[in-house]
Amino acid sequence: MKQLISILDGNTFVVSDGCGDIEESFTYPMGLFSFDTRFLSTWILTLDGARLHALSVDEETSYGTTYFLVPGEPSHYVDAKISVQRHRAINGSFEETLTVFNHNTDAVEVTVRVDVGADFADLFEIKNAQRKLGRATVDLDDGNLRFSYRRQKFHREVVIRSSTEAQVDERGMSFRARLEPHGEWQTRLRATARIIGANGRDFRETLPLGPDRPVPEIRDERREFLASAPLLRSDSEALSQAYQTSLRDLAALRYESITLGARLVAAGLPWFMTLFGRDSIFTCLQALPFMPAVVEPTIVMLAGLQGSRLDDFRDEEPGKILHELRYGELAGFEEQPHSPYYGSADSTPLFVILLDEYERWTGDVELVRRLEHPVRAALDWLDTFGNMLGTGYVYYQTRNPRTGLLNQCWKDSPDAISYHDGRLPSYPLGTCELQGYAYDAKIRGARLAREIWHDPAYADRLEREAGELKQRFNRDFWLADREYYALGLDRDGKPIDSLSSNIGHLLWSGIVDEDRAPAVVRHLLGSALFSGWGVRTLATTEGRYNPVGYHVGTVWPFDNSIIAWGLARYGFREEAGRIATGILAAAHCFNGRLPEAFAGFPRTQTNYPVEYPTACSPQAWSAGTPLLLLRVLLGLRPHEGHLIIDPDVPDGMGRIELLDIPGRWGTIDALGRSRDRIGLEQSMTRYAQP
Amino acid sequence: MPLPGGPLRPDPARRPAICTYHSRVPESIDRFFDRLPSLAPRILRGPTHGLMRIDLDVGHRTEHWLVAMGPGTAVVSRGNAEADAVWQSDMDLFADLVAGRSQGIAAVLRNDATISGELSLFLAFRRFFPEPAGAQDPRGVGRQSVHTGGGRR
Repeated sequence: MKQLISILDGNTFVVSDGCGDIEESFTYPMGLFSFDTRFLSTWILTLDGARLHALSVDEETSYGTTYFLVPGEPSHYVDAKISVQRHRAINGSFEETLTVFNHNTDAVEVTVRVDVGADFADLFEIKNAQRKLGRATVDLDDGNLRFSYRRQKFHREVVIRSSTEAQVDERGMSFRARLEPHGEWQTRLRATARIIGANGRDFRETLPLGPDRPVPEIRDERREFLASAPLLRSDSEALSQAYQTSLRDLAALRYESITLGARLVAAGLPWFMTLFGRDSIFTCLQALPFMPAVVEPTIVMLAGLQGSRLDDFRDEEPGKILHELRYGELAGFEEQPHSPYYGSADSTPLFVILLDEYERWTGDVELVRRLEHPVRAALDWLDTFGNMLGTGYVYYQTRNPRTGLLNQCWKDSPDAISYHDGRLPSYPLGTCELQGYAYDAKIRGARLAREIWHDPAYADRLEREAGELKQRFNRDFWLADREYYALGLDRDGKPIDSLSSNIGHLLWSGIVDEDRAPAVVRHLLGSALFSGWGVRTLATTEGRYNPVGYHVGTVWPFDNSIIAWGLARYGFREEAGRIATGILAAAHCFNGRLPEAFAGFPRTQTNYPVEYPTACSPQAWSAGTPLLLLRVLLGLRPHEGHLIIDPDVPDGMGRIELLDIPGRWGTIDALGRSRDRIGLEQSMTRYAQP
Repeated sequence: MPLPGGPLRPDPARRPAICTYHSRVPESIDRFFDRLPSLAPRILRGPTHGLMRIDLDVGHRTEHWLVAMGPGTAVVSRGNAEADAVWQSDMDLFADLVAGRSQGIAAVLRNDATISGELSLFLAFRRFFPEPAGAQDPRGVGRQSVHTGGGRR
């Protein structure tokens, strides 16, 4: 597979090959994308008709890259008489500066050409190889190249301009460049993507943040945003590298929320550059101690789009929190249900959990007061529409058999939920972690009701219901002979008896009976689930286990961060440290950037984490993973207005200092070090230094 | 959420509408607006505050409604005034919305409607639209699956 390079700012991004070219690909979407539409599907640079090859690529920032190119095949590099520097940036538009250098002692003339094409594909059309129903046109106007696409009133266009005179045709732009001896020639190309709304104007012109951000502005905003995050000093290179990469990736994945004039975090490149209920909530939970500013707009946005009616196409119900919001053609014309789509059974309890966690850190009681009704509606959903069979458990079954999701938990691929023998269950069904989240949502909702809404009767009721749910759950989901919780209950209330990573989320929720926790932990760290890098989604002992199966054997960093948090909650700090160490070691192999998932092969077998073939990267909840692991290692826990710091740093990691952790306490520093020789020596060395 | 629409500016050419063509408004739309005050206590439960204007085009004419929204209250009037948020679309589309045949956000995404101003007001207002005819309660669907053996893969 060719190396792919991505740059992004918010939900506008470019994916190209290693030379910076964009061409049709069925395996991975290349192009310039914005708001779920591909605005450039062809962008190929040639010199005198020949493609170029990269000597090197400098991925200097997430929004800018420079390619150093020469004509000819790799074996002919040494004699290159001409070279090209191709610098590009995303700044609302897509801007590329081409500089051609003549290394000859004679003047030369070359034809520089950029082939350009725009297919305006909706991301879902690329995924499903669908055909477009609207009409596309190309115009040459005033030396510019304009591609337009219309379907009824839906209108997108992209205009390509050059800073120097070009010969423009419908398939690109050509330049005749004359280069003096050791001279250079330059042009700047700019592709502006427009989403045409009322009165022929781009709707983003009306946004508080505006469509265009010059590069210096992006740089300053990013710098300021990153400077507000706590400063990490650590002896662990893996941790430091992962921390810095995570902060940068999360900063880059923020995009502007149109309603709020604030930035939300998109879920992941390239398929998920949009608002997801579950992903954004988990990312916020991970990032809360480090960048609380991204949390409030996410909560407000999810509350604003809360379900208000029954709608089978969208799997919408009153009180439900959305699964996914899309902006493209297929959502608009209702060929896909994402306007928004509500097919997720966990985003609703997770919404309550996030709001409570947010208030514990920030003390923002005003937001909790404002959102009292959405939170009550979310809690009501658990007992009404979510409680599909009236059994007291959250179950799911799509009412949209054509484009709805079969599985509405985080493992949402069609084969993700299976019995031990590999059979797939019928619907409806309820997975175990949904019950854990429901339990936690009720406990946390009770705190909000008692302390902020001053409704002790409601708080008592929620706590009573949570207690009953915990009791019921420990009766019905526990597999006594195998000593773990079933992955779920099927339509008939019988256990879906696979051993899965989901049991780690139960620890995080607190629904696990104290005396059963040791058995759960033994399974999580046992060889069937733990690969050495992390906990697999599905144990090797299960019928459908596949080390490269999306949700049936791969290791998901985000999943592991929640599991580590759960282990710490039940006091299994050493085990949490083992998971943190494994995942951070994997991150180091990926240069600090954890992918969405990697293969479940045993660590002893591969010595290197094998990346899942089509995993998304950067992905928000993978970027959030090192942050949550850091929180777990330092034992950070807000409690009654102050921050408890209770570090337990694994052997070999040395010293960790996290400075200026923001919260209701102002800012505070946390220090921890491992108890082994490395930790001691390193800290002594530090103390010895002036 | 990208909801296309121009910025909110008062249009000096527009004068308060005189409803001489009132009869051309479908009865379902009149009924929808008539019911808002009584629905508001149940629908507008958050701290929503602001004036929403609905501009509906029919032929070469535009009909205007104003809905002043507050916690638990909605006061409806006819007329054209500066508002905190403006919905603009064809009358036919709005008739579909009030009948549960269409959905507002999808309509905005395909540019059949535009919203300008404070979109949070529209997110509150959209809750007044009824659900599609025949929409199923998941509890009924689930129990039916259990009884009939439906819900197979």
